[in-house]
Amino acid sequence: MSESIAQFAAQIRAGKISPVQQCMQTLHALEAGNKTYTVATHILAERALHQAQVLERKIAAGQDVGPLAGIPFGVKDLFDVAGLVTTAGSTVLQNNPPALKDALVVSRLCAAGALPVATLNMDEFAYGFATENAHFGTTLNPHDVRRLAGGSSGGSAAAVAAGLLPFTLGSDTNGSIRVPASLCGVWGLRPTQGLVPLEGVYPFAASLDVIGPFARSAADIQSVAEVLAGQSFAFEGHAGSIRVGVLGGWFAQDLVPDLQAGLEMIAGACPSARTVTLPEIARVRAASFVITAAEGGNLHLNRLKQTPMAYDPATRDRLLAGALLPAAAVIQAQRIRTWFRHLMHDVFDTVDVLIAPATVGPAPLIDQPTIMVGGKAVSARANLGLFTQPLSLAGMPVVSAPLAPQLTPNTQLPLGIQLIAGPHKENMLLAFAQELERKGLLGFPVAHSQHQRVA
Amino acid sequence: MKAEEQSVERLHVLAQQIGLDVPQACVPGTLSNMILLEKYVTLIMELPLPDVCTPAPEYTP
Repeated sequence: MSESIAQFAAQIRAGKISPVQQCMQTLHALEAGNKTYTVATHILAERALHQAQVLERKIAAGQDVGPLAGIPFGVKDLFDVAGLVTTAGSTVLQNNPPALKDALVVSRLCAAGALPVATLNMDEFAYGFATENAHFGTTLNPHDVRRLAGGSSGGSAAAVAAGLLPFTLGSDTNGSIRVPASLCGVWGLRPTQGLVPLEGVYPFAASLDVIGPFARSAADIQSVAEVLAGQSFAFEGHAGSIRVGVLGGWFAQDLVPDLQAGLEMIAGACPSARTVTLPEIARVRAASFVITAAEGGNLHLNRLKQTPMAYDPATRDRLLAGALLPAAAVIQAQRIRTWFRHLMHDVFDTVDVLIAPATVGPAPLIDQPTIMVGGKAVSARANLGLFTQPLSLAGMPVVSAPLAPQLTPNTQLPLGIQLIAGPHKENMLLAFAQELERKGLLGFPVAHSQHQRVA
Repeated sequence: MKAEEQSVERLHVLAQQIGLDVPQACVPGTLSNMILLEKYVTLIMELPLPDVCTPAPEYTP
């Protein structure tokens, strides 16, 4: 599908393309691609084809079928899909009853004409940045299958990067949309906390959890996000007059040279750009870490008492340690959150958009899962969120965007940046992202693959 | 008592407080994560905050 989601849906609505045929082609490509990349946990062929047939009948009858008519999508394995057990990338919940109805956002997408075709791989219970899942396998990066796709929404990012699906949904607690989007060269949006409903989404750390889309362009992100949020993100202002800050200090360290150079080129394209340095980011990141560990540990505590060995060992031991955190630490972390919120609001009095890297460099190799931080090789699984975790604490909207390949000639792999705005400023943020995309500074092609769907 | 033994004992004491029996196979991994979290706890406890800076469990950005 070379067109935008909006253009493709318009052709479906106009009866120029059969949604049933397109759905079948997508399912065929997804089944083949899944064997290569391990992106899916379930493929929803029967349901998707049924919805496509209903859609085709409605179009023939002249009915309005919505802005996402006939567009296939997948959801991270923690979204409720009616009739399926929501397993959150684990076998621990496999004996739960099936979901009685779709998650609210899945319902909204279906009402807009989109077709759910798969649930997608993730780190168990969303606790990780790798999508190395002991139960469902490791999702491979479509740009280099020797490398991690990132996580925890790795299946969602890889399915878009491989050209298997035009958009997918993921969740982001500490960076689980932004990290895999960055490593797979696709766009992602962590919306303002609370803007998109979490009803029917399995939680991880409830006070930080957010859900959002992955897609191939900023315009596609906007098309999907408007349906998820139930509101328009049209921007009335002028994207060229947006005041830009580039985050320095913590966010300017450990970057691979191409990423550093790419950020400088982006800043150079923004006449108002100036460096903004946020204080105490190591402590802000620590607060995010502590809240996540404590809330995740508490969520699973009763099951950890009864069936600890049913968990992926890497997830289990992190959850157990989190459950043991003292109250004083968790409350202090939540006080730091208040402090950081005020600080960020003050920053957004002087700038409109902040720019920061999403990760320190390209996707790590699966058999050498480390990244360089402070001159040392450290665990990728624990540290890929170096630049995303602190910003989660603020709860403000963040677009994860891939640098254009011409900005990163030496890396040959996707490198991602974050664009951050004040709360509920998605419209301005997406307008700014699209402006940079139009200038050729952002956007990465899908991976070359024999599995890509035709549409 | 060695430092590592003290840490393991501390782990079990904390676990008992919440009715958790950490299986022996989970102790090394849990201990490793507990020590990592303690470093983060130290970082956040060192930040002085005014009394009026209250926790944000019901967070609105």
